[in-house]
Amino acid sequence: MIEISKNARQTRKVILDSFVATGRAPNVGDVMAALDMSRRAVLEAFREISLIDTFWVEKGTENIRILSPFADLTTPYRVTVAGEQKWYAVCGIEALAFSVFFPDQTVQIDSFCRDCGEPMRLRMKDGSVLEQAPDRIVAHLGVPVARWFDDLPFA
Amino acid sequence: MNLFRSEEHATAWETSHPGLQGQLLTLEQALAWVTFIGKDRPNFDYVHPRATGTLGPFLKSIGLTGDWWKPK
Repeated sequence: MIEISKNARQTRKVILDSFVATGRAPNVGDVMAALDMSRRAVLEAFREISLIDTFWVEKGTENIRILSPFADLTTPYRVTVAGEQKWYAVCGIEALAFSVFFPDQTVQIDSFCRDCGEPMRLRMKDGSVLEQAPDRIVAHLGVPVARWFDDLPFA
Repeated sequence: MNLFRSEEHATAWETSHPGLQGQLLTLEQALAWVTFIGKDRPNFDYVHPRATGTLGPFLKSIGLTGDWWKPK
């Protein structure tokens, strides 16, 4: 079992709380202020988080772009919670994970078939699919699982 | 990971994107997978199953077998 520091755990919580509340990731300064940590400590926390979760900071920057299932960028997986759209999911499968962060609420995932562009919609609550359109939806994994974390944006 | 309207649409997309061949899974398998990796994510002490060695056996248990589905 990989152990990470309490600073990293707290940093991860700040990031998740920001995503849930605003649909956006905090920047380094936000985390520094929230946890009274130095910039260096926050960046070390980022490194630790990447060991235990699906987490990506844009190369050459300090900007958080992914902490699954949330994406701080526009993706083909738009998420609406309780009628409010301000979230994007990392990918098709992670979109299905959103409802765990919004208990007792209806989570709607709007996307489109990557082949034909026709809209696809899933409505979920507490991990269960309430409705889906079309009736048949399949998922496609374009990278072997062993290489999934080598290039997260591509995967 | 992308979603498609059917296996036929996924195959057509692969045909038009040489080099991006992958594997398909049903929505039910995708839900089982994401529940396994994601149900504890809000927890303070969460660790992704890829880091605990439990992801591989789980994928096998839902019928995702073969080299493609083996974690590092």
